[in-house]
Amino acid sequence: VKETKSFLSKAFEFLGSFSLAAIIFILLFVLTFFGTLEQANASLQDVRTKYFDSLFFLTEWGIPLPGAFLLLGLLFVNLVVGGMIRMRRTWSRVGIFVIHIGIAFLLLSGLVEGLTSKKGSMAVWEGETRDEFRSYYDWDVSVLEELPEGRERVYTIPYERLPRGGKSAVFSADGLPFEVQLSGFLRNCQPQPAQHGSDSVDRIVFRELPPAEEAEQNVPGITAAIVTKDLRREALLWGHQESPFATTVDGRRFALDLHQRRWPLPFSVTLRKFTKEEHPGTDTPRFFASDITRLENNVATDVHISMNDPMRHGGYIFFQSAWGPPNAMPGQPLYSVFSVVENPADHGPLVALIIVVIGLLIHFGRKLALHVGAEARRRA
Amino acid sequence: MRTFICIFLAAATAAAAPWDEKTVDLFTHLPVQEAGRVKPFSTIAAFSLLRMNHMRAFRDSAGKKHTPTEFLLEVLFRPDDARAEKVFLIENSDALDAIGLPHEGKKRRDRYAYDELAPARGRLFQLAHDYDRIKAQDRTPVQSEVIDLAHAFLEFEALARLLDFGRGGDVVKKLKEGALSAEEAFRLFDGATALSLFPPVDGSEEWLTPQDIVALAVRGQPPAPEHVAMLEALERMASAEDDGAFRAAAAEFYGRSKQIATSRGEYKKIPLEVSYYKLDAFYNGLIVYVLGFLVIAGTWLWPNKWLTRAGIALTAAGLAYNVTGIVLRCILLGRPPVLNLYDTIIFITAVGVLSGLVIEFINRRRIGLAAAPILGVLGLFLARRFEVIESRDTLRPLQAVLDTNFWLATHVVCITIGYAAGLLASVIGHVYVLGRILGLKRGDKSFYRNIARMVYGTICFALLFSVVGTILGGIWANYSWGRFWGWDPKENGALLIVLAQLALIHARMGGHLRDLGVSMAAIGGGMVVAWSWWGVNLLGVGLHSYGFTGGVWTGLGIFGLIEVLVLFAGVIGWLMTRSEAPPPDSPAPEPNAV
Repeated sequence: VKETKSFLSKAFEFLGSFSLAAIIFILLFVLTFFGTLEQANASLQDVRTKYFDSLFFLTEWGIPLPGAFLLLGLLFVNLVVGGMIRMRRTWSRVGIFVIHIGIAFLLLSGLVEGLTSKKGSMAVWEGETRDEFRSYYDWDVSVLEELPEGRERVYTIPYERLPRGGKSAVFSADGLPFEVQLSGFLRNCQPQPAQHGSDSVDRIVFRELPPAEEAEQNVPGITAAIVTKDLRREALLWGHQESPFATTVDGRRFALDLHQRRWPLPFSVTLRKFTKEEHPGTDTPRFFASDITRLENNVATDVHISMNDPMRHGGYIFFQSAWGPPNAMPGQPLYSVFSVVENPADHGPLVALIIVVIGLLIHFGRKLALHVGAEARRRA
Repeated sequence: MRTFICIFLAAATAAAAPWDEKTVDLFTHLPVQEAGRVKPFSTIAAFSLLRMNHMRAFRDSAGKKHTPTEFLLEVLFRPDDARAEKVFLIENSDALDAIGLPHEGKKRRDRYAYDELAPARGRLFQLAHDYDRIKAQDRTPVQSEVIDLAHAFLEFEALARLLDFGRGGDVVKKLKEGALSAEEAFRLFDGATALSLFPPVDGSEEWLTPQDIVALAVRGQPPAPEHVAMLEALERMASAEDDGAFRAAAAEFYGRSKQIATSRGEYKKIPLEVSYYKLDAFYNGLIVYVLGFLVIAGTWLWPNKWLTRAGIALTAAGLAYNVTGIVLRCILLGRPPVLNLYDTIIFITAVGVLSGLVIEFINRRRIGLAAAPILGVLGLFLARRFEVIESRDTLRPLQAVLDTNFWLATHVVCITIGYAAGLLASVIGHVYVLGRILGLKRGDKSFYRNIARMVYGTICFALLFSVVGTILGGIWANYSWGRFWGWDPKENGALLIVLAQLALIHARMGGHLRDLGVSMAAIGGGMVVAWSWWGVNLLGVGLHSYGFTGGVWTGLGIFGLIEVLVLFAGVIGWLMTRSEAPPPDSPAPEPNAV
């Protein structure tokens, strides 16, 4: 009797099939291969956004490919359906089942990290104190109003909403006596004196630069205009501008600024001392470390942060990442750069690995024992 | 006639008056600091010679072979004689055409003396300067050779000039009397190399060069008496007119250096390092692997129990050499086994050979036994080639970012075991594919069935280590830099291996691959391992990039081409057997039966 299967059950079967798994692995392989090659010409961050954080994209050679985000999502479904729900539950497959749980956990913690983590950096000179860290790639426009008694009110236009590709956009907010019009966003640029007759603001224009080798080195620029019924004031906002664009509207004082997204910390960090050592007679760094004081609720704690030995505190992790200035002479003041990460799935990979290793040991250990036994019997 | 012979002999020996054994031994063990590590003079000499002569020895004009220490002694103390020795290997005479040096009567690949190359010095440096502006990966082989030659030539000159300061025999006296001007001191060392021969006596880490000692003295900072005595001994050696005076000065210099280095705890590994290089474990291992392979190949023609045992013994002896070399390196640096690319080669070779022997121990089908010495020969041959291409000390201290024995011992070791197993699976896959094509054991289905099972088992073993190693790498990155996965080229390389192996395993379970397919996929997997191991480094980006060029592209290209041909032959063979007879392949395995 031939059993006829409904479309749904066939689809369910396919979703959990070995064939789909093999196809996904092959597509991921192709994707990873080209995503690696492209890094010879493009920055890691750009390749990551295009190949790995995407659903679909077009390769340099015009071939459409599914992105890693989509493929890993599909893999998760395939793994749960085929490797956990549909798999026959026998003792011989316990190991496989456990491995699949571990990998599913790994994919999930990757998703949590991707959706919720904040990653940035904090550069701090010796003797200086900081209580916020900055995003590597996201630049926000903020409008700050100076209020009496040193207070201030901040309106932020997030990076995701800045108009791109020659477009312009108008932003307004309750309490703001003007609209902010943003246009001419450039991802990496430099201000320079305008040539005669060019479209400039205060005789300054932005010169567009090619994307930097490392995406965090890009310095963006955007043209902002403050618009009311009777006035229009334009300003160029540049990422590395010394001071914000200050203006007065209706007697109220405002400042406009384009800056890396800032995340406040629940504690402050003071760099007491930065230490670095090179291997004798070489420029190869052997060791570098920062001695900091963390101040939280008036409680000061001294912490030593070095390469491979970060500070974990209050959901934040501080990693020793770099230092500067690069050409500092001995005795000159130095600054230390920390990578700062807030990631709820911080220990996810470790938990996943432990599960996977247990599964692998159960499964391959059993297989090996069976094989050795069979071979021994054959020879006997 | 007799007079003629005497003159001839005199001429031949004059070209290289031998250094006496005692002096060579002293200098072999002389501690010197270089590239962040205190090491024997002989190690520095060996890598210097490797850069010039592409081997760790040279033959003098009389055809006698000399050690690296003798070479460096010659360059430092008898530069005029050294300039007449043929210590520069030119791989391709096109490089000489480029610098406008005639080479009639020489072979395309031949050795030259400094004096022979000197007439083209100006053109050599000019061209090297021009070629240096071309990106390394865009240079032609001739351009690269010109640059390498210029570096080697300059290194030779700088070494030969080091002791010029001492040849007059009065610098230390002037120094003591304060009669040496800063300008004069500067000129003394013009163009000379900086060799850190003087262990500090004040507890600082950085060793001093003769230049440092003189410069400090001229600046009014009197050097330590030990250093003055050593400088004096160096001067006496440089100006010695007889062997006795030289030996006495050498003994004093060595004695003082050893005494200070010992008190600093920096001498204790020097004798071990000298022994490590004397043992030449990887060269001897290579020889024994070759013998092992020949004996095992013999058993294919004349199956014989004793011959098989001899093959096993030889392969195990090769492995013993291989492992001893690795262990000595670990002791010398006080680190886990794999720190740089050179380490990966010797480690992967050892793991591959060991796994081959284990497979043999389990199933006794002489397939693992055949694969083991093949991997041994290929691996240790590659290690030798790589040492010449890189031409710098392979025992290097680690940079800060890698300074963690825990992760080096776990992540790196797992990943490299995964590489080794992936390559072993590929070698066994070759046995399957080539065996089928060449018609070996035609009709013996179980023979091929078993090879395919070995391939599959080895892939599973490789997957185990690749998966664990790759995730461990992510965890290291997560706990050290705050990101689990960054899609960095080397991470991607490891992931490619995992993905290829996962695709193979799932495709087999889905019934898409059978024995031939698994074997061919394992060969493809070997290509992926080679790409991940070597190819991604050539992109020159990312945390794990090692920055070398040259022969690696060519080697990788040739390997890729051969493998594509093998796979192509496999496909042809498959099509032919399909049209000829029912496939000897096994039925598809039951789903889920891993």
